[in-house]
This record gives sequence, C-alpha cells and structure tokens, in this order.
Amino acid sequence: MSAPTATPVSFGRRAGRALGDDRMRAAIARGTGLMVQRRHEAIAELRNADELRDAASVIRAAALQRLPELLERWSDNLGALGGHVHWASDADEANAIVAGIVARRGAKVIAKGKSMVSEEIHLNDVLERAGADVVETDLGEFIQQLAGEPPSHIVAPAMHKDRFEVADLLSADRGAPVSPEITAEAAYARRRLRQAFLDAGVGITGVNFAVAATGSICLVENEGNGRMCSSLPPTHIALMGLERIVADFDELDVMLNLLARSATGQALTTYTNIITGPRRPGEVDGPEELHVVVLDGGRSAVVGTRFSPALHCIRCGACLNVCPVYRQVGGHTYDSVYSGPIGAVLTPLLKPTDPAARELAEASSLCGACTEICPVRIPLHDLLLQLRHRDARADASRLRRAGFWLWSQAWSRRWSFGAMVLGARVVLPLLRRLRWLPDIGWLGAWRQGRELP
Amino acid sequence: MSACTPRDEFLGRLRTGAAGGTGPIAPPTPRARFVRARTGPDGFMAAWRALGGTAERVPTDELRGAVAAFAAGRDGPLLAAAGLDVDADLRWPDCGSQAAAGAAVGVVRAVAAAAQTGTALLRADDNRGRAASLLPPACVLVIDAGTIVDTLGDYLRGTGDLPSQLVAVTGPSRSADIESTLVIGVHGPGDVHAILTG
Repeated sequence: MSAPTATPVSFGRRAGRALGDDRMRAAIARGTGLMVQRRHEAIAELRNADELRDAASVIRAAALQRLPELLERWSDNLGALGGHVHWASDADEANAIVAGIVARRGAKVIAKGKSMVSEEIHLNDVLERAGADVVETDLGEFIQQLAGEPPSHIVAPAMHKDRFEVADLLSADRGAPVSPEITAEAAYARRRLRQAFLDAGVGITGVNFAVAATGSICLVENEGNGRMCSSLPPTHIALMGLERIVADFDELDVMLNLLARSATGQALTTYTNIITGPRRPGEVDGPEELHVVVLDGGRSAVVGTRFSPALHCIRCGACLNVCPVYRQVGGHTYDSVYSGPIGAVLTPLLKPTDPAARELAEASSLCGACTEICPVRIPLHDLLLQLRHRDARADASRLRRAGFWLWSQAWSRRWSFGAMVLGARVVLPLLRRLRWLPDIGWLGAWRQGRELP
Repeated sequence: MSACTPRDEFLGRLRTGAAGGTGPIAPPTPRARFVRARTGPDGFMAAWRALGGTAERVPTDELRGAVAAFAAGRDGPLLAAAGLDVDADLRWPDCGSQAAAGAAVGVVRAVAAAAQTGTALLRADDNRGRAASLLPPACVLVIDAGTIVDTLGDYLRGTGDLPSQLVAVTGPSRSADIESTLVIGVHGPGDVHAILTG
C-alpha cells in the first residue's frame, strides 16, 4: 500500500488496488483475527460486561451533554496545579500553539508518543517544516514514520506490514541489516529511540481521558514510550479531542475496564499514566511545563445532533477488527486518519465539506458487526445509514427523486409490483439469453457484484 | 503566545450544541465483577506472574537480601530511588538520567498494588520520581503486602491527593505492533520483579 496520492482516487478504485495486495491482506487478516480473539477472551473475564458497556454508553452520552461544565471544571483544576490548557478551534490553531511552545522552549528534538489528534492535524509536517526533529516512539508509529506512511489502524499502526517489510525499513534506517525476527526488531527500536527520549526538549502524547474532578489526564500504553515522553523531556504537550472527558474516577474506572479489553484483550494496558499537572515543588523529576491542547476540529458541530454518538468513541479499534470491509481492504484504503466503521462515520462528520470523506459512508455492508462489538454501544451501522440518507437527500437531482418516487409508488401497489415481478421473470432471462445486459455506468458496477433475480 | 481561541468562545460553541439535550443524566458507575476474582498478596502474585513478571514474598527485614539476590550477576549498576533502604550503586535522582539509563536494575517502592489485574502503583512524589522504574531494563517493585487492594478503581477512589504522576504498572513493557506478536521489554523494563514485604 502506498500513502495517499495527490490525485483523488475513488474509494472503489483504492479498494480495487488493495484487493490485489495479497501480502497486506494476509497481514491484516492475521492481525484483526488475533485482536478479535483476544478481545473476546478478555471480555469473557467480566461477569457484568453488558452492564459495564451500558454504563459506559451512558457515561459518554452524559459527558457530551455536560461538555462545557466538565471542560471548565477540568481546566480550572489543571490550571490551579500549574498546567496550561489551550483551546484550538481547528488544526491550524492547534499546530500554531504546539509550534509556538516548541519554538519558545528552543526544542530541537521532539519525542512523540501515539496521538490520533496529531495525525488529524498533521502536526509532524508543521514541526518538521519549522526545523524540529520529530521522532515517533511507539514501535508501530516509528515503523510508519520510516515508511513515510500514515497509520493504518488506530491501535496497531503497522498492522498491514509483515516482519520482513519491517526489517527492510529498520535496516535502511540503521544502514546495516536488522534481522527479520520480531524480538530483534523491537530491540533495535529500543536502542535507536533511547537517546531521543534523553535528548528531547519536548515530549508530545495523546490523551485517552481527561478527569474533570481532579484536572488529570489519563494516558494508556504498553511500551513505556508514553511514560518516557511525559516524564523525561522538560516540557510535555498532550493533545486531546474536546470530547475525551469523564467526570471523575468512578467513570474512569468503568472506561478503563473496557478500553484495553476491547483494544488489545488486556485487562489493563501495561502503563496507565494519570498525570495531574507538571512536576511539583519537592518532586525529583518530571516536566517543568505541562500543556494540554484541546481540539475542536469540527466536533462542536456534531455535539447535540443525531450523529453525536460518534463522539462517544474511545478509540479501541474493535470495530475495525470485525469489519468485513476493513478486513479486506485495510486502513489506508479509507484515505483518512480514522479508518474502519468509526472512520467511515467520523471522517465525513469532521470534514463536512470534503466530498471524498462523504464517500466513506458507502464503505460498509451494514452487517452491524461494528455496532455489536462497540464497548460504548455506538450504533455505527445505523449512523452510516443515516449519513447515506442525509447525503442522498442533499444530492438527489429532480430526475433521481422522481425516479425513486415512481419506484416506491410501484412497489407499494399490488398490481404494479406483480407486473414488475412478471416482467423480471419473463424479460430478464430473455435479455440474458441474448447477452444483452447493460454494463454501462453505475449499473455495470452494481451488476459486477450481484446476480439479477 | 500563538492565536488560540479564548475559553469562553470555545465552550460557548458547545453550549449551543448541547442545549438540544434533555438535561444532565447521572450516569451509573457499576464496579466490574470478575469470573475469577483475585485478591490479596497471593492473588496479586498470581496475576503478576501471568503477565510475565516474577514475584516473591519476604519478611520486611529480608528486603535488602532479596534485592541483592535479584541483582546478582547482572551486567551493570543497581539504581535505587532516594529513600529506599537497599544497597545501591546509583541513587535517583542524584545520578542523573544518562547514568540511570545505563543501570541494569532499578529499584522503587510501589505505594500500593491491585490484586485483580496484577497492578503496582507508583507515585512520582516523596523522592520516588519517575525515571528509576522506567529507564533500566529490569525493575524491582517493592510492595508492602498490607497495601494490596482489589482493583485499580478501588485505589483511585480511595486516594486523596494526587502527585503530578501516578502510574499503574501492569506487568512488563510489551508491544504487539509487529504481526500482532507479543514482545516483552520495548521501551520500559521487560524484566519486572515484585517483592512483597510483610
């Protein structure tokens, strides 16, 4: 798979290309299959998984309803502890805020942990243009940075690559061969990135949850790079979407019980970091400055609409792993930071004016596996259907509207429905025998995957 | 500072959106219940070992010996957080990060542990710091057996003040980013040893 190209190519064309990439498809099939299996085993350890999922769904909905109040309380609390909260309406503002801090602190090396928001705003491009050396430190993100590609999965960014492709990338980086064994590859990354942590003037991470009652941010991870980025450099910048808030530790506990189980099949990730302000007087290490950048980026326009459940997402990636479309075409085919079912819902909502984003709502068979597995019970396939409905209404020409009106009239009357069935029984076999079935335009594409009755 | 949206303006946009809602809901926050409940020191040690860590329980006055035994024969100095009563080659934070990064073993005290998930809780205050448990490839976590609670949630609900960083450590550093295959010890310590005292 290659990174998105400059010329816009339709989802169908991209999917067609992906289907020819057997190596990528084998890697995705293996990765998603393992993640689904591990998730099922971890959820089965809970006696009250359904009760927790119901509660999580209500917690997320309630947080969106109380967003101004919760964000205000959280930022007051964090501010009182010496943390700086920055409010960014869009990507440009968020990038300018981060670049401003980096410049003021004179940081040359930036150690970066995993952050989907940073992908959303294309932060690395901005910082690199300003002359900074940005080092992705999550193993999967590091591989993707070497490949010059965006992540293809929310949780496992390099899921689409096999160990041999990874070895090629690491060998090129090292200038000497790295063995295609996974332990050797991880060991190389450990050695290679260690100095970056120690040299970095700024560490950048994402945020999984912000806790209003205490002013904390919670960051979960397995490798330890998030701890490094938030502990060793003198400045820590954390990026979060405005929806990522919970009221208190009771709510956080419910979410933590579901997040890692749904994502990687762990009861908890190896490290659950709860960061409450910068280093205090009397503490021996930790960053002198803590900045949290809160991004709107189109989210406020979704809050309170019928699509607001899309903002309940906790980025576990479970819907990607079960999606029959994602499992066939992989993440890059979506040509969006967020792929899979949640990406197909979120992308058109966050980019309402981008026609390519709207097309993603079609990238689903509406089988509902995503809705079934979602830990916070987002009705994903229903939202996809509603997006299609919205777009169909907005786009439909008069002719199309008239056509569909006629069809609905015909199918809701017994005699005309009967006439059409008869027509289909008599006329279609005739057409088929004469090999005269039109393969033109959308009808041809539609017919490729289907049998006429 | 760069152009950033004033808080009131930012939150104001959300007030307009949220106004369509049906008013605040008080969400339920049920506690997780487990098919196989793990409690107490034995529960913690079983969970910790299942994650790939090692664990032992010793009388409090044998801590020094237990740490020395774990560190024996390792290639590099032993680093301990300030205030911890063990024999150490390096003391955090006096030794500095570059020296700490060269240590073979870091020894720190956990303030508590959660048995269910095999989770040790580390606080950044009281001279403990963050780096001693993070930089060396092996980490010894000293845990007072009396501080073991059932779950992380129980600890969080019971804690009053918070340090700048509280980290819940659940096993060794790991990754499954290549071929979804588990590797131990990526950036944080891959060799984690819990010593329960008392």
